[in-house]
Amino acid sequence: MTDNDAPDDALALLLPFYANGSLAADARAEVEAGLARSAALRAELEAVQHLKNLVQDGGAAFAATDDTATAARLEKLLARIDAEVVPAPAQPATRRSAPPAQSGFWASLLRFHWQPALAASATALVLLQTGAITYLATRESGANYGTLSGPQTAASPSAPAAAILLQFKTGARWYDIQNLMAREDLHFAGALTDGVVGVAPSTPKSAAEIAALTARLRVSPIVAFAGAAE
Amino acid sequence: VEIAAHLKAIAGGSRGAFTQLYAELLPRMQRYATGLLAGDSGAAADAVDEAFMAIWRSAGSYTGSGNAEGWIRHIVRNKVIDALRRQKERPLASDEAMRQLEAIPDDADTPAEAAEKKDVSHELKAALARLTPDHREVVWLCYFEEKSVTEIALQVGCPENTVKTRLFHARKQLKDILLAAGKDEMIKR
Repeated sequence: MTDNDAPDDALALLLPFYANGSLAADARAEVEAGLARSAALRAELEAVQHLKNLVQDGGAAFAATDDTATAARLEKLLARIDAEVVPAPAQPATRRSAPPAQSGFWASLLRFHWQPALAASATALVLLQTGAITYLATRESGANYGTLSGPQTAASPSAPAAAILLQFKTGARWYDIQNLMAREDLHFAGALTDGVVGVAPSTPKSAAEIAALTARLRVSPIVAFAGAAE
Repeated sequence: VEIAAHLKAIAGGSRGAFTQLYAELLPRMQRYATGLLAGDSGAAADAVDEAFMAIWRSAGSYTGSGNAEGWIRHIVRNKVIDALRRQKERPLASDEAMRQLEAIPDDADTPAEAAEKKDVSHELKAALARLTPDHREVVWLCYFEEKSVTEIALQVGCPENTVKTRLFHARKQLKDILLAAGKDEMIKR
């Protein structure tokens, strides 16, 4: 057995996985044969193992989360969930301070509770838009929905699998959504759940292409969230 | 299987399942996000919590095919990418400016803080922070999480050969970074 000082590049690239114990038996045997004949490869392995120890030692401190902080974070998350699920309490019918006594048509306008009325109108507008998007998404994907405000049942088994999950920003116009879907050659492929809808490319794409597509969607001005559906 | 069951329950609106999933996965996800964010545990906590909110909203879209933890990791990874994008928008000091800043003795440091600065974790954070996010991710997944090349390629979304060459270049860069920072004792030449 003679030492060869030029490490085999292909074997050198496998060393990190040899060091972390994840190589399959045949690749492992190949690396071991290379190590037996090359001093340079052995030196490479030593450097790789040193880096692995460094990352293991240093990284162990990265997730030092204490229980109190974890509990506080969970509490905040649950409060956010509650805020999303439970509808906001209705505005009180009385004002904090009584308005000055007035009479006539203009006074009745002033006495009208504009704030709750405007809030109710805005809510109705958002519901209407969500309903429209749901309807149009449903019509395209062929899924069945129980209510206008969102799905109560899962999409039909025949519905195509979603590759990407999308959430459009509040106020995104259906025209812009349609344009984005057409531009990226996408169709709706899942139920709208909590404002998140599944989409899929019309032609099959590789994982890398899906990742690139997701990255493009993520920077769209009308997209609030884009992630792989898997 | 248990994670998939939690996701199913969460899709049905179970806060209990959400709490269990959070408690179970937080250490792993927090560590993963912290590794990708070069030790910035605050940004990692925000990214992980945003990911769990997204899980709450979209658990119903997990189809049951594929690894449930992998599905969750994708969501965490996306939130980390968002955090990195926000960091990119902030002006960053140059490497040389950072080195000069770190070289200045800080009288405000307590003995514990001074010791922490010598700590391997601190040095690793500083070195990882100078890698590109792509290189940092493969270093973390291979050397800390001990994932196989196939698993990393799947998670990162690139070919296996790209994973291998990224690891190769990342190790060279880490060596140069530590040498330039005078941390000769931390590298194996």
